[in-house]
Amino acid sequence: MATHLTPSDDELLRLMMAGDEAAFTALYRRRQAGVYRFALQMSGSEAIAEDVTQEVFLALMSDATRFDSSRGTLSSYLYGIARNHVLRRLERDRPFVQIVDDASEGEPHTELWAADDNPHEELQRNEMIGRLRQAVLALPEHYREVVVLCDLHEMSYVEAASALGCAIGTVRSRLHRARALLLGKLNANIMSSEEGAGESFRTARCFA
Amino acid sequence: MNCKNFEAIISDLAREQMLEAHTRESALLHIEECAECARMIEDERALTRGLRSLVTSMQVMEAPASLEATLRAKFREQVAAQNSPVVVQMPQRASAWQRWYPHAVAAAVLLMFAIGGASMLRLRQEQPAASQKNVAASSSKPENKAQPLNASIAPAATDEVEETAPTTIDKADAAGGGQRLSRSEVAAITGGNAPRRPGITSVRKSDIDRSGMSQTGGEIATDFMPVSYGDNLNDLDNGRIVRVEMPRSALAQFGLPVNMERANERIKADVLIGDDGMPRAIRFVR
Repeated sequence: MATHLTPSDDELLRLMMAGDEAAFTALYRRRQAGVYRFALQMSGSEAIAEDVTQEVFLALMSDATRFDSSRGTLSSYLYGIARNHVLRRLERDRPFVQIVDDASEGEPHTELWAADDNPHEELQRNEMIGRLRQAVLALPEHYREVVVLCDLHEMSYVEAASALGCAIGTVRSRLHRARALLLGKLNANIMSSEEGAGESFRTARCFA
Repeated sequence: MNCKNFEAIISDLAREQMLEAHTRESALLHIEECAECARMIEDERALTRGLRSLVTSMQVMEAPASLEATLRAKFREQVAAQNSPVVVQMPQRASAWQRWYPHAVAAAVLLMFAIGGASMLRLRQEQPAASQKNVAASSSKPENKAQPLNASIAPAATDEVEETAPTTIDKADAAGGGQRLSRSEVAAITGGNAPRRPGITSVRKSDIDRSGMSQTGGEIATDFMPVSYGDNLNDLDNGRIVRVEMPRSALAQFGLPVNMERANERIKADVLIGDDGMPRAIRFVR
């Protein structure tokens, strides 16, 4: 009985460097969504996310020899390239990039996560996720990137440090600070929206 | 565990990261005792749930399908380019002489500038008065006067005056490879045995325009000046004149004024090369 083993990223990369288009395609399909979402969560713009994804894979195909497996995973390497492109793009387009609001292109795909039968609770949760997205996008870039990598992409501190090119302790402390900032923003947002209700609406209740 | 220690691990606890068993137990015990920390961990856990909901809501988002097609096309182009033979048009091979001669001349000129300039500065500092006396003496004795550079068009000595101005040389308009000069022509250029000072020579009044530069045939040139101050140009039997370019700042080496704002511009010069291949004299051309 033949067993089918999924080739590793390193194996696909080696084949890609030898000119194997199928290997490149497999690698792209495996990693493009993560890179795209990272760029989207960092920038809030689908256009930037698409451009950055293209730049990342063009960089990989033009000079794959720069990847050093001893320094981290290929995934971290791709996130690192994406991060540099996003920051460059945000810097360049700073006056023009608009943070998306709830009603725009970034509308959450609620049908995937909404399990409650209560439409009111579902609506409330959608609203809270929209606010959370805004709060993440409003974080300073060096805090935003650790939240995106560690919390939204579930990377370990080691992987995030490899992608960001900084120490593990830096990632850890930035994440701690970023989450405190997020909580502060969310609570302030909720309290202002519930002003006059005579009750402070805590984050814990909203995501309960 | 106290509140400070608890705060240090609160994110890891809320994100359900790996913690030492003892630390985890202590933290959970602290929550039961401290209402404030219990409230904080609830907020942190709620934030974790919210972020996970956000992840879920974006799970289906990915790059558009057209991007894959674009990148695959780029990949094919790149592979094709790497596999195709590269044809490089090689430049025609120049002869060894053509290749090294201009570099050798330029290097030699620059070297001599440095040596000559340093010598001139030192001698000027030592004998400023003596130099003025020599100039006066040479102007009072007709046999010591520098000869006009173009012997064939040299006028009678009656309308010659001494000027601290450059002169024009027609003979030395040789291009690139240089023009070979006879002994008499070299002697005319170098001014016989007369002591020379850079920039001072005898010229015809008629050749001097308003700006103080003599001009013939559209080019204005200074007198030939020895590259090395102590060089005896009379030893030259034959020579060759080569047109070169150099930075305007090189004028300073010969005591000529330099506009420092244009110091990096290139200027033309004719270098008199001896048979030994060494530069012996130079004049600046405009």
